[in-house]
Amino acid sequence: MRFADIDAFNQFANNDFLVAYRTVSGSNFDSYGLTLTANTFFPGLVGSFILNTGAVGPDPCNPAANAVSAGFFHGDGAALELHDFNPVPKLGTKTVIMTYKPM
Amino acid sequence: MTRKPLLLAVVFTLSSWVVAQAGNNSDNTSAAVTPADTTCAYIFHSGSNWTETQDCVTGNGNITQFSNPAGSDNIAGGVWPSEGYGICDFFPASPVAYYDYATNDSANWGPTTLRSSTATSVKLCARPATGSGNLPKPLPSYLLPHSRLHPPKSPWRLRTSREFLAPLT
Repeated sequence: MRFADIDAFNQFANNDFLVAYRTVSGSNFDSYGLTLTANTFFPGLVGSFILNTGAVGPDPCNPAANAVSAGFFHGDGAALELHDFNPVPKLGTKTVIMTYKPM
Repeated sequence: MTRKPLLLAVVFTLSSWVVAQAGNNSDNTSAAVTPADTTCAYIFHSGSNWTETQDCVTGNGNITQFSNPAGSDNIAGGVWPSEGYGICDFFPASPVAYYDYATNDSANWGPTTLRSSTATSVKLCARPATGSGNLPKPLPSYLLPHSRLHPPKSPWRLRTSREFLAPLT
């Protein structure tokens, strides 16, 4: 999993978050911000999530505990991309490509 | 005017997440725990003014700055940056969490070492400092190759990898 506390344009509060299966973004009122996109998503991608815990990163063994249920969130949020490879074969390799893109 | 001058791709490479729990692990000695770190160790920069993008990577592979346009940081404003990675190993009887979010970590990573670094990339690796021989011995690595694409719209591409190798048995 990859986690990013998005505080768009130096503002930790009043950010607007949107999430879809492969993408989660956070922006300020003027649409500056950051978008995380999972470029590699099959197999392995569980999904993208908005967390409402701000700078507090998730427990990797319970990563979506603080995910918001709606597809949007206003406040001090964070982005999470979650992949599941179970098991990763011994001596095998799994690769995930993500994109961090400013808005 | 474009406000999307930087494209950053993050690659996670997971290799050989260990299933075996025990064994004659020759690498089971305790290692010093690498503390969480928010200090910029590698800085990547492109553009200027409205197209200026700058990001920095810590010595542990966290992206603690992602600024665009100039002066606008989108990761905690650089004040309390919290960005990173986490992995859960479900194979032990009690799952083991490994994470590093720059400002705090799981305190079970060994020293991070530099594999390679160029003007456009950095590759780091580390091992958990479990030392018990009963936990997996992942070998994470973090790869951030930047390559110039087509400025000014997408001048940089950033890649990150983190891989896990089987313990030495």
